[in-house]
Amino acid sequence: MNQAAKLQRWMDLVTTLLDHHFGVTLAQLRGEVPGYRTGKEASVRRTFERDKDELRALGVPIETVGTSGDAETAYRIPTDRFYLPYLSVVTARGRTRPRRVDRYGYQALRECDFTDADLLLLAEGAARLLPLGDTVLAADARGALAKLAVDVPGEHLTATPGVIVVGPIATADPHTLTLLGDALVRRKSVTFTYYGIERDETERRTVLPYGLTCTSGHWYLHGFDPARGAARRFRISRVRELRINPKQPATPDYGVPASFHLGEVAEPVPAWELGDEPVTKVTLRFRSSTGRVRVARTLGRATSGDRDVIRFAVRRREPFLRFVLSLAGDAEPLAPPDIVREYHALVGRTRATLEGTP
Amino acid sequence: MSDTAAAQFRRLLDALPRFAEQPTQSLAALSETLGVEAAALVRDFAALAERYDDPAGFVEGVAVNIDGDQVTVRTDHFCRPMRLTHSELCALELGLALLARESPSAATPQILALRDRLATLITILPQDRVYAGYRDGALATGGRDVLDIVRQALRRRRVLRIGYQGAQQDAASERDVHPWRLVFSQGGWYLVGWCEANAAPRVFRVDRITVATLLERSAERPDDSALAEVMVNGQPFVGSRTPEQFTVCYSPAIARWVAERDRGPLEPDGSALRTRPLADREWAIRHVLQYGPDAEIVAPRDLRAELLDRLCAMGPRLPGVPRG
Repeated sequence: MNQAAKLQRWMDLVTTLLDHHFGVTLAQLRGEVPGYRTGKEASVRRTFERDKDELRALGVPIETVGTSGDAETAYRIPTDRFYLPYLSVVTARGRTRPRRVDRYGYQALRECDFTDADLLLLAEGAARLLPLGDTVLAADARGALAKLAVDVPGEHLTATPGVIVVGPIATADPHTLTLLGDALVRRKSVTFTYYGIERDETERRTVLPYGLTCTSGHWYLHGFDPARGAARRFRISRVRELRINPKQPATPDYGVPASFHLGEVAEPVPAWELGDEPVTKVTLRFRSSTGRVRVARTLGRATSGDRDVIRFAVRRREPFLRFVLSLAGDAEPLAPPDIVREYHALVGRTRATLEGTP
Repeated sequence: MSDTAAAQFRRLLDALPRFAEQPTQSLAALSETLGVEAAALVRDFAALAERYDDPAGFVEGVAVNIDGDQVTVRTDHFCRPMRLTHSELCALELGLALLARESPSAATPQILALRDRLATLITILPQDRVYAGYRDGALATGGRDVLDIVRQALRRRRVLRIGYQGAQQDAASERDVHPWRLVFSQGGWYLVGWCEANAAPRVFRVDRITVATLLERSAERPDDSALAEVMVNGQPFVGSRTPEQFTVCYSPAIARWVAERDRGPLEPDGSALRTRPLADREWAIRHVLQYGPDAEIVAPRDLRAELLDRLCAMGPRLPGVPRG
């Protein structure tokens, strides 16, 4: 398909629909949009329907007046739903109003107030997204700010200088992120090759996606794994060859259960808190209060009585024991006894390694 | 963005409101304002200008004329930007979600109210409701109040007074810092700046800053050579000019995590050898200990011996424990 011809047809269609406030039928559109003028009626209708769907996907609010597909059906784009309201900036010094467009169709647009603090938050938030590896997300954030910038002076949409987010070296593939975004919107299952780094195995997985989180700079897919009968999370940088279920593309494959809350899995947690294993309450005695140790203490909860005894909720023992080991004697486990034994065994094994010849 | 009709359409709808008051614009200036390559803008406008198949008498809704660097657009349409799309709103919401988790809890109501206000700027389409809330995130936990003050100091170029408890200090000490950078790297936030007490550039882990206050004094601008002392490849690093190094061998059981993190090579047996700057012996010892018997210091020997002494002090060796 000729891309320039399609772009011209879209622009002609949008301007025509904006002109006709009460709607225009396809027959009328054929007289006003050159791209619809030639060809059989059925072919033109198919082209029009495709254009309408694609423009709606781009955010253009094409409304249908009457029954869809009927010869008398009219279409329109209400200007107040298409154009951005005017944005005023409210600061301590007063309100800055944007220049209003002195033409028909623009006077009735509403006005919205944003404080300078609001705009700084938006700029700051958008700046966080740019290094995260999702090019579509970054383009959307930039596009949104570009729209606001038509009314808002640039200094209000500038993020704090000197704030740098360094993304991980192993980044998620932008195309995979885009496909996952599409699968989530349409609620379609996905199949992909996943490298399970713990078992050092690669296998095909099928997942019903519930959401995406960017946690500590890494992108994760959260979803239901039917083969395991449980919710799982997948680091997207380890996902390859992702395919969206091609069957019945317009019909959702699943619903996200009401009990699933993405916000609850978005924050970084220590490795020993991950997984489905039952929680073991482990108490540690801290012997130091240096800066290094102070941060480690905050990962558990103080017990009543002794401020140096901290309790941790542990699902995975090995990562927890290695965390205690990394405190280099500034803490040691008190209970339960099996954890204490395992810790001392770990110290012994580590010591034995060093007693050998490098 | 790939050059599809959709990408061109979006770029045009961003560009056209700029012509509402001034019908003729310089492509170079427009390119800078929009952050879009001039060549892409030329292609977009040319696609509208070159209409050879239009029937006689047709008046296009957007008339475009390109003359060198000058583009003239005449239209009564697109004098305002289009409303935000749902995907644009979702992007801004994710940015706000990340920010909410690094801002004081007192800021949460403002961020939530802002999200509600943003929602009034979008076009509601029937299929849009499914977009809601499928992305979330957090860069790090903790340090919210301090991060907020540090950002203020960077914006207003003011000196910060911080309480900082160094890695081996039992209590926090007070320092005045000229903030240069606030960097998120490998799971944590770092303040990089000039420390008056040390008369040198320093890196401060934000989670070890106990309190931060904004002073009235203006902060000095960063000095590039001083900044280079504490930033390596865009990341904060203590003692980047230290001549000492240490070498660690990571066993095949964990080497793949190391290789994933740094994209470095694996040895034929699946292990990984890495040589790192040795700016802080205590840090090196704790770094190796986090891997238990799966990491050992290969060099220098005195550091290996020091680690062994520490392990001996951490507990008696159990009888019958095999060597790693």
